Amino acid sequence: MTNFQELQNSWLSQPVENNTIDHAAHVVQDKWEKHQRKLRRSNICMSIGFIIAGSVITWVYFTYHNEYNWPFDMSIASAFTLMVVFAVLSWKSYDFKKDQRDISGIEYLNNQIGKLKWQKKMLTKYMWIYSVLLYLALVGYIVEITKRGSLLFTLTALAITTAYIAAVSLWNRFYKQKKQLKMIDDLIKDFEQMRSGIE
Amino acid sequence: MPENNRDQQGYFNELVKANHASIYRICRAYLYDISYADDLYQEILFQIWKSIQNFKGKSKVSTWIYRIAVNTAIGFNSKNKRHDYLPIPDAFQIPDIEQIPEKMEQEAKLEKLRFCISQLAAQDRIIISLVLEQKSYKEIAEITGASLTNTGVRINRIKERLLNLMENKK
Repeated sequence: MTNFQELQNSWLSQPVENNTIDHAAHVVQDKWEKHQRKLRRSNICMSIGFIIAGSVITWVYFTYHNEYNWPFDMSIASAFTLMVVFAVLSWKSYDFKKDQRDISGIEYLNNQIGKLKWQKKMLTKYMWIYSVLLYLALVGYIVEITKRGSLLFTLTALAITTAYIAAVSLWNRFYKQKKQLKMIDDLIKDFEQMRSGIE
Repeated sequence: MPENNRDQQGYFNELVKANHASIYRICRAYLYDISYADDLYQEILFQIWKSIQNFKGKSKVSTWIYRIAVNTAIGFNSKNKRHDYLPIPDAFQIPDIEQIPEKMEQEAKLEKLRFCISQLAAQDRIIISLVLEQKSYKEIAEITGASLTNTGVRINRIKERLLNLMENKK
């Protein structure tokens, strides 16, 4: 018959490697510096990208908006909104990487579940917002550049663009993201199960 | 709190020296495979280093460290699903304690204990690793965030299950 005290004594007496303690600080500091360098680089690249894209869009708008009508304004506004949405999502994802680990297990699990649900929402809802804004930007652009051609030409161009965006959006939602969504659902299930097992 | 990099290094070294054995045993309880447990151990040290400047002293240092260890283990497993419930190779047999020399008995018992812990659910492995570290119910409740009553009930249930597994009962 085994008793728990015996198990505990046996567990606590197990040998533990001692040889890495002295180097632990150097190892984690190196890892930390690499991590910080990577983060700084990606933040700088992301910020430069936003500044360049924003400047180009603003320049195009102020240079040409007198020459074109409302579809041009609509396409510029859509492109700009797309960029803002992308920036918000990028910063939000960056924020997600900053995990707070010194909270209680249940709080940590709640945070993780919240993040996963947000990711799922983004995958399922953001895609539609993105598609609509992209569609509006392209429609505005097509209407403007084909206005000197025939109506049939404009309508054909619009029909091809609509079919293309609809097909890509549907393929994305029901094929490409299927695996990703399944993984998120599995993780949410695991975390919820773990939370109810601890509570 | 450490004010500069040198203080931080010194403080970190002290923390690691005082707690490395407990952290390592938690890793071994949570992950049966030793190489994954080593990876988790490194990850926990890294997370302690990352969080060291945010430690406000609101909880005991040990509670703070255990919280980081437990949460890192949860996150580690979610990122590495394959580490969970590793299949035990067919050739692996738990040694028959009666038939081996006395000096190997302790290691054999320990191996069997590790194996039995690996049969528990992930959340139960976390809790039992804290119990085996002789943490009180109150401390375990603080680390996990569960109520004291529920913690007590769960611990008794997990202990019973572990003892049954050690006795080769289901």
